[in-house]
Amino acid sequence: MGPIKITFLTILVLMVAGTAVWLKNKIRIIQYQTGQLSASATDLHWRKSLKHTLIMYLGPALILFMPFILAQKPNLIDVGQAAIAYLALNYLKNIYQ
Amino acid sequence: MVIKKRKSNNDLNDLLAVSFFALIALLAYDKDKNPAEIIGSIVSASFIILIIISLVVVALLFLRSDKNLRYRGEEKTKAETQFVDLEWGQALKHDLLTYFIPVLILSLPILAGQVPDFIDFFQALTVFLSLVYLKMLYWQRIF
Repeated sequence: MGPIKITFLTILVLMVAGTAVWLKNKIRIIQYQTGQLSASATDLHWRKSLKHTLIMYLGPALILFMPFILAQKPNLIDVGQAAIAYLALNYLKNIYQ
Repeated sequence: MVIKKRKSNNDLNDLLAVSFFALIALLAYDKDKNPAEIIGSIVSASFIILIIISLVVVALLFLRSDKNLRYRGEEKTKAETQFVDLEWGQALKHDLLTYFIPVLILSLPILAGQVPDFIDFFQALTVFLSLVYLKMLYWQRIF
């Protein structure tokens, strides 16, 4: 299997799984609004925040560093991918904290 | 803990920074080479140095006693841990990001008119795994 086939297969699997999880979360929200399901709680320890921050900065760094590991040069697309990853993780931090 | 703001010594800092970059330019100057090549080599060298410095800082953060950090957290939240109610809408947003950001990353080369390769696959895998790890961190569950 070439990389193109693997890419399209991965996109298909992720789309199907994402849609399924989306529907499940919708059902959970409806159940919570009708009182069948309770809310969840978490503790916001500083250690959690530190882990989130480390992932937020080191994940995009790893993405940018990955072409060097496979002996290639990074291009503008890699920078865009790292930017997307950073923005997503930063948005997630804004959701929770 | 009150951190006193030191009076900034801007002129001296500017002078030091300019002389530092002048020193680098002087050391890297070569008559036979193209200036763009020299700038590129400086940038690539500083990139590696930045990675090493950030790794050292992260290692120091882990190695040093976390007493000080814990003290700061207690002072800020008046307690060791702060309990927060999570809503299912947050889970919805998190799951959407988890499954559709890798799709976006994988389809970015296709949108730019290039052929995706294994590097893009591993990049998408990195983002997916980090988002799943964060879901485990906040919700203690994956789905």
